[in-house]
Amino acid sequence: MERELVFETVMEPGTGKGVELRRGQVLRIEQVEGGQCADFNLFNLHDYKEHFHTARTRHMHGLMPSTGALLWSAPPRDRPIAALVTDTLGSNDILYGRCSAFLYDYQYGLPVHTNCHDIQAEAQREFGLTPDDVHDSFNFFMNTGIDPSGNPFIAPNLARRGDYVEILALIDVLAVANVCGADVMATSNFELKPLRIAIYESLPGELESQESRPEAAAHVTQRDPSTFRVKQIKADRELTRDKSYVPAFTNVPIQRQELDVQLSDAEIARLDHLIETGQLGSTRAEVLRYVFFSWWIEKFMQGPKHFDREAAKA
Amino acid sequence: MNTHDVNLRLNQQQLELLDRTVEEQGSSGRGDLIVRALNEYYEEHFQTPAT
Repeated sequence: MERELVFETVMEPGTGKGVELRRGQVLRIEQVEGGQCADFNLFNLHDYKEHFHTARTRHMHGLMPSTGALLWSAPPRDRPIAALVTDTLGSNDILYGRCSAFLYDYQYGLPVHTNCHDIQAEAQREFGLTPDDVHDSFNFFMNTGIDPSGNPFIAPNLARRGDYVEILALIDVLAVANVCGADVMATSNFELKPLRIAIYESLPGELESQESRPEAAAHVTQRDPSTFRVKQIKADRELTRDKSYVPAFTNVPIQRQELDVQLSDAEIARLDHLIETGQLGSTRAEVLRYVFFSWWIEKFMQGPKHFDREAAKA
Repeated sequence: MNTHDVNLRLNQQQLELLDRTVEEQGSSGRGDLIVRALNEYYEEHFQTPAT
């Protein structure tokens, strides 16, 4: 069964386009010639302060999300606002920031140059957004990695003519894609090429299958402005102190308690062996606390674990 | 059998997690669960299985 086409256009090099997607619609970003990176921003259409967040998405799906990944909004909203339902290539990046005028000026001596920030800002201006509203981008078709020293790198773009990604909107969104303006970086193989964008209706059951995923279940900790202590968006630029401010931090003051745990000779021997590894702490109490919570994470925590099991064996 | 006391310092949020797990796992108490964690963690990470 084919998706029903609603809209399509071709973005020429140096340009971008914002489109409104209703919940359940699908945005396709497609290679026209191949080898082209697409930068991408995504906003709640009815509240632009909620937008896609690379960091939460990295936490949940890693540095190179592909088919099946959700696109998460920033805390405190913290919810999936779209789903990457199709990715014919599987080479995306949410590690690198968007290129900007400054980078070409500072790194190349090119102060007037196509760049993703300015392209994105100009496309988003159609919807009243300012350059400050451009957020960290989802870089579709961008091939990146991290070297053994921990430094990121950009590798040759692998996208072929006709490769595409499809993003299913889980709420009404403004989706803004642009043809990455980096022609003097490896991002798009040193040549800017057009990209096609198209809006389709989702297939029957497609939206429901995403919304029924465990990660998509609603939590009271996914907050919206109705619970904010400051509900209005600040409209002036100057920051001034609120003299009536009274701090209201959660669970403060943090109370600590002592807890005696009885261990047998054999258990103490195990604990002392763990201390000898030098990995988990230097005292019995430190190591026992580290072990307990590490064990808990391994056994019971939902979602991706955040520590290296192999390192614990070192 | 000798026993050894290890004095842990935990805050109320950590104790909340500990107490909830004690209840869910049917442990006899905080210490019992922590000892179980030590043994299971050690056996999984540091003990070579018998061949």
